[in-house]
Amino acid sequence: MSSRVSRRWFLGALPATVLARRAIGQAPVELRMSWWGGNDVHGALLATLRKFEARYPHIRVKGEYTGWVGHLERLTTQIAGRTAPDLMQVNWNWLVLFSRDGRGFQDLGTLTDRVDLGQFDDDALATCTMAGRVNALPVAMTARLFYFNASTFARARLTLPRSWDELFAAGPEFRRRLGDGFFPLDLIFPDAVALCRAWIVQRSGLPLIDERNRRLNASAADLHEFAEVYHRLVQSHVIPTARERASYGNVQQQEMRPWIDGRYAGTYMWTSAVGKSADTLSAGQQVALAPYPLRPEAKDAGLLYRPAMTFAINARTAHPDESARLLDFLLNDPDAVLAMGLRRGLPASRKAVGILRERGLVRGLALEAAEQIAALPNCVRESPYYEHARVRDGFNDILELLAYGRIDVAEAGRRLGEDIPAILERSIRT
Amino acid sequence: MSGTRAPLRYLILIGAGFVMLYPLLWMLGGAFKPNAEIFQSIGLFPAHPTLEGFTRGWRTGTEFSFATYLANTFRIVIPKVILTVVSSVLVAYGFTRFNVRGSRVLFALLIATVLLPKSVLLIPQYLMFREFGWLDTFLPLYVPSAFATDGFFVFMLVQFLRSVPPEMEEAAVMDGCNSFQVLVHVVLPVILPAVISVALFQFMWTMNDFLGPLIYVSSVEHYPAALALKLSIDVTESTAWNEILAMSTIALLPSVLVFFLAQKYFVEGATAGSVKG
Amino acid sequence: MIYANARSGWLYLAPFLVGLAVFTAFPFVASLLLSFSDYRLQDSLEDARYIGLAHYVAMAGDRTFHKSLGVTFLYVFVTVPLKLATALGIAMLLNFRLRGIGFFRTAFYLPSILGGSVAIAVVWRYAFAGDGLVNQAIGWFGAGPVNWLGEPGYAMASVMLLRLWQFGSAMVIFLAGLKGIPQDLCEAARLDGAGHWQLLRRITLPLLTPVIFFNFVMQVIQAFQEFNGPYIITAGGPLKSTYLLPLMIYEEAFKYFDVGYASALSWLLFLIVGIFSALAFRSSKYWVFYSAERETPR
Repeated sequence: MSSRVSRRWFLGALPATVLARRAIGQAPVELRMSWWGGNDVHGALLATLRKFEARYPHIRVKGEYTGWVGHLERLTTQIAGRTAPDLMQVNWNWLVLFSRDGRGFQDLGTLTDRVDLGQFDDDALATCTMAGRVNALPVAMTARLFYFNASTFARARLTLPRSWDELFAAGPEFRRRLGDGFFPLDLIFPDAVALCRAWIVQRSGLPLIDERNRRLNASAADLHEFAEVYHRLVQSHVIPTARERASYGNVQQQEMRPWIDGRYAGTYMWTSAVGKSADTLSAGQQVALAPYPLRPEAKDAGLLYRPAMTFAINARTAHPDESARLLDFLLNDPDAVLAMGLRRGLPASRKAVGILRERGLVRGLALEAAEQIAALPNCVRESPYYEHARVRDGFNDILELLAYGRIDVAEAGRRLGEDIPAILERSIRT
Repeated sequence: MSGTRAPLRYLILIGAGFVMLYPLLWMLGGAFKPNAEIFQSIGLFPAHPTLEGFTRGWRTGTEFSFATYLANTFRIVIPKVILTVVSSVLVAYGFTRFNVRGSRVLFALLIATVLLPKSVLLIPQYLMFREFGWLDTFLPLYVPSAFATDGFFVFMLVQFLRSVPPEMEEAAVMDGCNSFQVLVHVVLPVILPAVISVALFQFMWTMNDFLGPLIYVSSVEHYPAALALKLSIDVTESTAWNEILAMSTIALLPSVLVFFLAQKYFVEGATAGSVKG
Repeated sequence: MIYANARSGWLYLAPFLVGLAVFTAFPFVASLLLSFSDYRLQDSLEDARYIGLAHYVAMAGDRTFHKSLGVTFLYVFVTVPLKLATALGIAMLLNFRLRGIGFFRTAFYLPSILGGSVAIAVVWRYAFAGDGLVNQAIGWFGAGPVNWLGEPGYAMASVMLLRLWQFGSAMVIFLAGLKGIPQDLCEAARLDGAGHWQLLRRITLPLLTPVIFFNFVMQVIQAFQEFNGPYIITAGGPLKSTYLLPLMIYEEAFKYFDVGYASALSWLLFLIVGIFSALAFRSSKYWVFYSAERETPR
């Protein structure tokens, strides 16, 4: 912590120390905490909670966790029904749903004696700040980067693509050298939308969603290009057709047989989630990070840099103090940091990164990703409405129609220009 | 109609019956197959029968075993069936044995509620239960049944009661019984088959209910089997079909057992409402 | 009626009256009011704003809604006639002193008991997957695998097949109706030289019209409310080809949190079903023949 001893801080600390003195040996507190994740995350977090309880014997923490599907619906039910837990894992784009005025969650700026905000850089805090109030803390920052199956590319005797041109050229090469069933990249519709967005944002240097005016920062020509990029990816055999993908059923990308076998040899994936994909590859195959393709004179890389997930404290919690302690523990304490490791990507907290670095744990894909992000032009902060359910489905539906040949590229561009702003007007409320 | 057409009839029926039952048999067979074998053949009989679909599926990918989910299902179904039977009998009795002014209008309203698409009530009911604080409990799923909100069952019992001659009840009244005693001691035994049908149908419908739990139950520990099954097909681990088929089999087992034990009542119940009306 | 004292009657009807008011009438009106307001699920109720008919206007321009309405109508108007025809056909075949009636009843009726469940929907999804039961069966006959869940037309077919599979409940009702046809009438007609087809057209069907009517109305109303199948088997896709209206209402309310719009959609569904029911009842005068009355069918 800095050594500022301003009057405000002192006045704030005084009651806090009084409370703290009272806290030792006082009535037990039970906190509830909710999160989503896979089984290994659950295990790690539960172990971390036990360590927290050991540190603060009068606090018990009950973990409520589920898979990703349906988590938002459940959280909405809880928040609206006033039964939300004390500490919640919240997706970055939900902050704007629940806390447009910044009052939907605890203002962490009032709890700085319990939770160290100084470990997070301004950019990261800004993504979690609503109407001037810090509503949440990022667990890890993430961005979408290009990862490829190094083994398949080695078999094709190709280097990993370093530019858009090389990416488009890899398609025909794969077909020629490996066969029709091999593709350098696999995209589900949200990935494809993000990739096309990157193409546009690289030229415009602006977020795709203009939140204030509820429209897109893209001209009709841009949107035509948006659709064109997807079309070109399919035509050039860079990605499999939607039909082909659909024939494998409604399976997660990393569970699809073609990915596991190495036939779909690439993904445009979140740095915090790529572990899932790397894990399922069959023996002898490896995931490697490729250089990020940039358009000439790109103002921004279009990375979609944002928190992978955040923790927020219930605005109505009966125990803001203890909840803040738990939050600080989870993000800044060595025990918690080491238990979690790099499971959720490189932590956003500087202290946490330092702890991991000391143990030599910052390595591999996570380290490469962090270095690549740091080296890329990265100033565009996309609006959280980009990931609003209706907006996301709006983009996906149009690309899906294009993918199935129900509309052509021109029509897809047109619809992007008509339907998405209409969706924005419905979804963005002032 | 003539004897020569009988073999043809049997052929068609047996063929159709087999096709109809095949999905269920496939499910049952698949539950006993090792995962890899499911893709390989459509044969009903597993080449290498194993219980691993059941054992692994029972554990589920969550921290609760399937037993928890089945128990939750019954925590919903049992109260609902009991409350439905009690309230439907009371209301049907009220409609048929009393000269209540405006009962015709009320009966018409009852029919209207049966024909009403429930989706139009879904959201306000959800908001109402939210204001009550009943979200993530089972209360919204069975409390309404205490008020005969499933009009179809009242309708069924009314039809049945209308065809029961009131002589015995009149005799009981003359002996000095009040209406409730008559209901319990005289009427109930007579309409028991219909009441059993009501109970069975409500049992089945509630076992199958998905949308209700979907919107009202949010904690995994309160999930009934229906939601747990849906969760299992959303898991991030690779698709273990045999486990899912095994758990589906188990989820259906109560309904199948009840069906076989009480087929007669199902058939009679289904027809009581329609043909006489 | 055997009790002149109406007061006790009201007591017995009381649960129904309370239920009607609290769980039906109040939500019904509330639903209409919500359809005129802008209310999001994550807000508290006080924040609901009145916006008049804006949602209904939005519906007129909503491409997704048009698609949903279209596929819903397709679903209802294909499955209901097919289901009724199958149910009637099998019922007629079963309407004899058959051996093994227990087996047949199980085979045809059990699916309709279980079919509405999540378990069956899940099994259905796996049965129609790329290397699932259906494609294996097709392959056995030499045809190529069909991308059931990935192709818009086929996805709808798989969802429709689930409903058709459950014809048993309608069949049982038809059977009961068939048993209600007086045998002496049929005998007399046969003696007069009536053939099989004429018997069907002139005696069986007309006498069955009340049952057909009942089944028809019930089936249509249920078909308009189908949710489990599309939700679990196809999640409304691909390309919204199985995005039935109840599923859209659910997603609007619980995925997009736009409660006002979802309420407007549900009211529209109510109007559709209501109009349809009214038309059906009106038309029943012309084609449903109740043997108690002396009208002849047209």
